[in-house]
Amino acid sequence: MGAVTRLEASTLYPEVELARFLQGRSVDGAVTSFAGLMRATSKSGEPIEALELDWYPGMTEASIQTIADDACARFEVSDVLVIHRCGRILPGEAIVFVATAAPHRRQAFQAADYLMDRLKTDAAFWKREEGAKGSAWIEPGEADRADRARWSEE
Amino acid sequence: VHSPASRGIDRAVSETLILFFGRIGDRLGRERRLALDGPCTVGDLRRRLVEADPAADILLEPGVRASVDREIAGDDMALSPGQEVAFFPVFSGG
Repeated sequence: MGAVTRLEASTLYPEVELARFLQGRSVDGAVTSFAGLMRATSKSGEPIEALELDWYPGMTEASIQTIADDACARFEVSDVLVIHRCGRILPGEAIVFVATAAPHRRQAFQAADYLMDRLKTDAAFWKREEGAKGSAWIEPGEADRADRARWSEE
Repeated sequence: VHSPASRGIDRAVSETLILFFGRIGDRLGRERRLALDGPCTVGDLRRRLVEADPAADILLEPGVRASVDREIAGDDMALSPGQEVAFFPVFSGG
């Protein structure tokens, strides 16, 4: 399977995706998964009613595929799955789902950690939070950049 | 040799599609089309868009990136007819 990625405009169901990812797996000893959910409050604590993830058809999919391919090249994993939402997302909904399969757990954990740090900074999205006081475009914060930098080549 | 209809098609083909994303799209709308007659770089295109519409001065702000046919491009890249150009802020990530 290698690196499989998908961009979804409608609801993403992590439990369904994980069940599918596990199905028929008999060689690998480890599968990890991560679901990122939309928080109901902004970093400054303001309530958020919706998140709008603007995307560039073609470029956004390619950016996600590059990140997944990089994870496959970097870690000893058999399969990587990344599903990302785009468009309008409501609090509690899954924004992203990542699953990795590997012969051993360390590589599976690390690949999932790497995928999320890259997706949070390098995926071609533009994010707008909508609240009672209006809407605001969000850019990666210092913490996101520091997480991303953990994986930089020396 | 060319009928008026075919000239219309020629003109449509030579137009450059320009797309805007994120807060740039909020300000300028999703897309514009411009016929490029003569040499034009990505940087020239930014300036031409501002000449045509002062609201497009957002394109001159630092950090506003460009792509040509969905690949990140610098301001010195020369454009050819029919290419797709986009302008957008730094990616927010997912």
